Amino acid sequence: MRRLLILLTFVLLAASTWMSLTVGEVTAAEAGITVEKNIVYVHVPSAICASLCFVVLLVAGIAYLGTNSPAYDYIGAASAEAAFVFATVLNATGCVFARAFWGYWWTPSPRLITSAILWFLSVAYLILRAGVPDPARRARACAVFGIIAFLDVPLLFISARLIKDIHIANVEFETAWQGAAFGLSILGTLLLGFLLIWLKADVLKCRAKLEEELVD
Amino acid sequence: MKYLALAVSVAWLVYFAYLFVLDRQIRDLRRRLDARTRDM
Repeated sequence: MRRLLILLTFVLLAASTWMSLTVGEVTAAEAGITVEKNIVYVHVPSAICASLCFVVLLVAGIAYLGTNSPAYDYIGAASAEAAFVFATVLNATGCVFARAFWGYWWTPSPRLITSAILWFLSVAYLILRAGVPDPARRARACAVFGIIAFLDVPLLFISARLIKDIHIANVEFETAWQGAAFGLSILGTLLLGFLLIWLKADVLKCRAKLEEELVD
Repeated sequence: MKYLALAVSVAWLVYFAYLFVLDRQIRDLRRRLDARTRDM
């Protein structure tokens, strides 16, 4: 099952990459100048996945505080790591685009700030997790932090729509192929996110079990 | 289009780096599980 999912994820991501590089030329008018927006095929799916990982972190945090079941702690930790991966891609590709078309790597605009905060929150979660040795205290602290960290996600999505921002709110596709490439890219990245969380949560569960047996 | 190629490369690099880390953790876990099975 897992091997099939890994294969499907790889095929979807490879297909979307090939389609975006061949038929995916997207442009948009920005301050009267036509600007290349091809980066949308990588940047937007990673933003969606990073945000969804934070949603999982929120749900796992609430579930852990409600039930005290370690399974939710493992899911939360796994989703925080996946969020770190996707937030890294989100910010790195954003920097590439910003340097290429705006002339600077980063600027303090609302969406860029909230994206950077998303990355720092995922790093802070991982540091917090590594810093508390007692499993029960660590799980509780991480659950609370995860719930608070989620507050950045709505800000990220409304920032470019509510406040005047250098970052555009939407990109419109000109052909069905571009839409298909974008859809495949989102689907592939979502599957990758699901796989990363599943694998990591299993690793954490097995590791905890082994350590418990060693203590006994 | 070269910026898309650069962005795709960055994304695949990050994904594969993380998958590599995850793979090493799984191998380490499997090694520890095998050692435990041998001890029992």
